[in-house]
Amino acid sequence: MMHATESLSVPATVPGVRQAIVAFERFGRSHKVPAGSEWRVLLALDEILSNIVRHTSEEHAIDMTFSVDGDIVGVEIVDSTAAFNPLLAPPPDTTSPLAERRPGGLGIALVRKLMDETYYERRNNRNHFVMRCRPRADH
Amino acid sequence: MQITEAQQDGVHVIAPSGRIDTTTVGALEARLVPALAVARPRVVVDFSGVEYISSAGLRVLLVAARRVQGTGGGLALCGMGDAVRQVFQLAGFLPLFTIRDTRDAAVKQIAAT
Repeated sequence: MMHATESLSVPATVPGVRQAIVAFERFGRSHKVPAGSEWRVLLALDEILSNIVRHTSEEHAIDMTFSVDGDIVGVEIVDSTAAFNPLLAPPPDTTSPLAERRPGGLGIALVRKLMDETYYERRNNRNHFVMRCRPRADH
Repeated sequence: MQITEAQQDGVHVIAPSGRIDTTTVGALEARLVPALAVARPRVVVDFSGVEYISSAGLRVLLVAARRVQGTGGGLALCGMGDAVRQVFQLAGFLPLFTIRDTRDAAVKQIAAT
C-alpha cells in the first residue's frame, strides 16, 4: 500500500494559492492519485486557501502537508491568521431565485460535500484544517 | 487557463479550458464582462474543456446571469463534464441557467432570443 507525504509553505496570496495547486497536481501525478479524487482535492484546496487569503491583510505563510495513504488522499492546512473555523460557517443559499441568490458560503459547502472528512482545530495560535477524500463511484 | 472566443449565428461563444478557480477566474471575467456589456447580449459559455469550477467561478457566472436578465438577450452554458455538473448541482446552480449538452444546441437556443 502506497504511503507518501509532502510538505510545503506558500505565502497567503493568490500567487501562493496557485503555487499550492501546481504542487498538488505534481504530487497527484507522482503518486497516481485518481483523477476523480484529484479535482475534488484541488477544488477544496482553492476554497480553503482563498478563504485564508481573503481574510488576511498581513504577511502570513500557509503550511501544508499533502498525503496519500492507500487510496485516501489528505491535506492538512495550517495558518497563523485569526482563529476561524470554516466548518461553523452558516449553510449557503442554494434555493433562492437568481435575483435573490447570495453566493456566500458556497466554497466551504463544496469542500464539505466533496471531501469525505473535514476537521478544524485551533492549536498553538494556529488554525489547523484537515480534509481527506476517498475514491467515489460517481467521480 | 486558455480561453477561445468565437461568433456563431450572432452568438458570442466563450470557451475556457483548464480549471476555473481563484487563480484563473479573472481571465474568464475579463472576457465575459465586455461580451455582456452590449445592448442585447447573446452569450454561450462552453465548458467542454473545463476540468472543474470552484465557487470563485460560480460567483462570476451568477453575476453574468443577473446582468443578462431583463436585457432581451440570453446566456446559456454547454459542454459540462461530470465534475462541473456536480459542482453546479451541489451549489444549487442548475436551475439558474439555461444548460444544453452541445455548443450547437446552446447557440441555437440563444440565437432564438
